[in-house]
This record gives sequence, structure tokens and C-alpha cells, in this order.
Amino acid sequence: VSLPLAIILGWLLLTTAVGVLAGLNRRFGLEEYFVGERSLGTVLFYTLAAAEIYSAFAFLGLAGWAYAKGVSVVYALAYMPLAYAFYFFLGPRINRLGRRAGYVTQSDFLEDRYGSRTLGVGVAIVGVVFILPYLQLQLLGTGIITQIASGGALGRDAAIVLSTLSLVVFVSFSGLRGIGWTNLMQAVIMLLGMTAVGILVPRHLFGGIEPAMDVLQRLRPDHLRLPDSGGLGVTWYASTVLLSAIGAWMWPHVFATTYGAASERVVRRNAAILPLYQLAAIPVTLVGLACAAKAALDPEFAALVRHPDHAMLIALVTSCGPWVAGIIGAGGVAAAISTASALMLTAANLCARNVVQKGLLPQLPDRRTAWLARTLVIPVALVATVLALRAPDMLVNLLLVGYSGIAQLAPAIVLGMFSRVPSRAGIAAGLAAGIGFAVVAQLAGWRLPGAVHPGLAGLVLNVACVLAVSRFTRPPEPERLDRFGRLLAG
Amino acid sequence: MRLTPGEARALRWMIPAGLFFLPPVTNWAAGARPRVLGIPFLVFWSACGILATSLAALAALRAKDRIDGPDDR
Repeated sequence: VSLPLAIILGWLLLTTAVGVLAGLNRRFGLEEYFVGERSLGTVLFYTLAAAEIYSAFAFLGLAGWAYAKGVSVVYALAYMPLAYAFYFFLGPRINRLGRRAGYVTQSDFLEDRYGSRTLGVGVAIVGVVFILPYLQLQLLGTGIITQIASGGALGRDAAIVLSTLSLVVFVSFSGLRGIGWTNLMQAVIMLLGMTAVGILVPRHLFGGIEPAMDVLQRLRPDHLRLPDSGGLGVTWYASTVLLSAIGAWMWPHVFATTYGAASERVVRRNAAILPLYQLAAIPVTLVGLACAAKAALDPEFAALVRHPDHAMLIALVTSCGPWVAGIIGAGGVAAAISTASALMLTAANLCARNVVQKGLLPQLPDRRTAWLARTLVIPVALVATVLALRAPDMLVNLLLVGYSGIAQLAPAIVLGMFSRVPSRAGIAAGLAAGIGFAVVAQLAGWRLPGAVHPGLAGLVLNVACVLAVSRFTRPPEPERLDRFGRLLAG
Repeated sequence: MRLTPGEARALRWMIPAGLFFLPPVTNWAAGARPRVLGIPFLVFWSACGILATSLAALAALRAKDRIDGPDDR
């Protein structure tokens, strides 16, 4: 066993142990398993949210994008601060509703607000459909990071299986509380890994960031401007930032985390301090650009990078010692696992709570639903693992539209909180139109005027449909809206 | 919009933070200069946006607490 592999596997073992310990001596009812008994304080919520949001993309895709296309990658730095600004107003309301109405999933909220069980079940199924490819990608990420960082000492498939086993054990044992405690560790090592890679790799490649950027400006100046080497310009950038900022809090797993916060104050305080974690993405972005400079200068390095997403890790193992490679590799695996754990939990919870308990078996008691969710973690993990191992590219199209698709929930959620206008038929029509347009436009490769993001165009269509159809259809009963208004009242 | 008076005041702090990422501002930032402090200007600009958003949110939180009282639920 090589030293980097020993560090990565040791970290995986420690993660599993901490996750299991967090759930010892707990009586797992619905609220405990799904939302950690709504007890997450400021620090635990901060690390949970930060680690959930930073996925394998932070270690693979971010640097890979900068390597292949250039500076348009800063959209990934820009959208989260904007998302937190939305969250400042939205988050405390989500938390308040969860606490007062006993919601444990995003679909609980939509079902209650619009008085439609069908809508709740439908949105839960849509959520699981968009979660699966995202989960598959995280598992693939653990495999790729472990394989490259360990210098091939452990194969990709074996690493995927080991990571999945670790996830199944602590997610099914401890639920959101286990994820909260493991993410506390993951957030620290991710931060360490992202900072270290930003300092060490450019120094080894060029002696620092500035010389690397000098080379890039000389040999690949398009990498430093918008539109960049990928042809992505300002309109694309702004529309993608806006879509991603709106979509960020619509993911069902992030919604459930907000239910888990101990108070609205915890949520609002985090909306103010969470943007700072985003600064950790800057070193990784710069490393991606430094790798592009290296590839422009050194054909041997360019030949080593068979996929842009691998560029940073290849630069890491070719230029840093085994200790550093191990720690940064563990940071990368942590980024993937921390997101995968929340996705796994949420997919199982949506199936157990909204598809089974609310759809198929309405008499199922809450306690049994919690047990069902714990059990369903296994098939969810199995499906994602099989897809990651056997058909890694099969769901890639679905993943491409994941953010666009999930952002289409925004009108249902935001208008549901701030307006009495939308009817259930309006919301259903808006969702169908928005998701339909975004999926077709993206899969068919339509290029919209100004390269506007298709998901944002879908969102505009979605809102228009909600408003138009709601005008001519029956709104939810006034008593429901009044009760909802009382729940929301400060 | 069912914002509380404190949230309405907080909104005034949050709107300027969003300006960092608007197309005309990005357009300016994209063409302003290639690099600053050795790093691409757009990366530097995004870092400024992140810090500004955080500061604006802290000011918004303070303004909201002063008017509505702290969230204590």
C-alpha cells in the first residue's frame, strides 16, 4: 500500500467511524433520522452546508474547466455568493415552516402548500431522478481521485466500491446527524487540500502563480478573457450565474439541511458567513489555469492529461511528495463523499416519505418510515454504484440538465412563500413547461440568442406559465392559504 | 412580498452585492485589464464579490436584527 493510498483509506475509515459514532444511542424517529432533530448549531450547519455544496467538482471539474476553457470558470465562484443573498431571505422561512408544520422533505412543503399529494409525489420522483446522476458522479469522483492521487495503487472501481460501503454504513446508521459530524471533518480537510494545492502545484510547475499567468498570457491569451477559449461570453456568464444561484437552494438535499438548523438565526447567520468558504475555490481555479500554461509549454505534460478534469491531480502527483498527494487526495475524496452522503440520504428519504408513506402506504407510521428510509439507502447506493461502474457515461446527459431542471422548482417554492397567486394547476404547468424546455434545449444543443443559459430561459417560461394558468384555474382553498400564512408569520 | 420591516432594510444591503455579477459590470471587469496582483482580473473581481457579499450580508443581518429583533426561534 503506497503512502497516499494509506492516507486516503485511513481518512475513509475515520469518516465511517465518526459517522457511526454520531448515531450511537439515538432513537431514530422520522425527525431524528431525516433532519437531525432540527438541532444543528451554527458551526455544524456551516460545515454541513459548505461540505454538501462543494462536491467532487471542486477537485476535478473546477480545475478541469479552467484548464480546458479558461477564465469563464469564475461563474462557479460568482454564483454561490448570489445564492447566499437569496438564501438570507428564503432560508429562515424554510426553517420556520419545517419546524412549525413538521416538514422533513422538500416535497412535504409543496404538497401542503398546494394541497396536492400528486404534486408532492411527482416532485419527489423528479428530485430522485436528478439526484441519481449527481450521486453517480460523486462516486466516480472518489474513484478517479483515489486512483490518480495514489499513483494507481488502487483502481478506480475498487475505490468506488470502498467509498460506497463507507457511505452506506454511516448514512443508514446515523442519518443527517452522522453526515453533520462527518462533514465537520470533511470541510476542514477540503479547505486544507484546496489551499495546499493552490500554493504547491503552481510553485512546483512555475515557481509561483505570477510566472504561470505570464506564460498563459503569452501562449494562450484567450484563457484570460471573456469570451474565452470555450467561446463563452458575458451573457452566458451572467445567465449561468443567475440560474445556478437560483438553483443552488432548490436541490432537495440542501432544502432538508435547512430544516435541520436549530433556529432561523443559525440559518441567517450562515447566509452571511458561508460565502467566505467560496474563497477556497480560488486556488483551485488558479491551479487549473497554471496547468493550462504548463500544457501550452510542455507537450509531455499535455499528453499525460487525457481528460481536462484530471489535469490538477496529474500535476499534483508529478510535482508533490507522497504526503502531500495523500492529504490532497483525501481532501478530494472528502469533497465527493460529503456531497454523496447527503444525496444518498435525501434520495432514500424522498422515496420512503413521499413516494411510499404519502403515496402508496398512507397508514405507514413515522417510525417505520424512518426505518424504511434507512433500508432504502442500500438500493439507492446500489443503483448509483452500478451506474458508476458499468455505465459511467449513461447519465451524463441527465447530469448536464440537473441544475437547469432542479432550478425549475424555484417558482413553486418562492411564489409559494411570498404570494397567494399560484394555483396547483399553474405550478404543475410551469414545472412541465420549464423542465421540458430546459431538457430539450440542452440535450438538443440549442444555442439561444446571446448564448443565454437554456435553464434560465426555461425558468422564464415556467414563471409565465404559472402566472397565466393560475389566472384561469382554481387557487388553493383560502383556509389552506390562511393557515400557511399563519405558519409563515414571524 | 411578505418581508418584515427589518428584511426590507436588509434588502438594501444585499442588492449592491448582486451588482458584482450583472452583465454590464462583468463586461467591464472582463475588459478592464488582464491581470491584477499576478492573477487574472476576473478571478480577483470574483474574490472581491465574495468578500463584498459576505460583508453586505453581515450588515444586512445587523440591520434586520436592529429593526425586527434577533431571530430567536
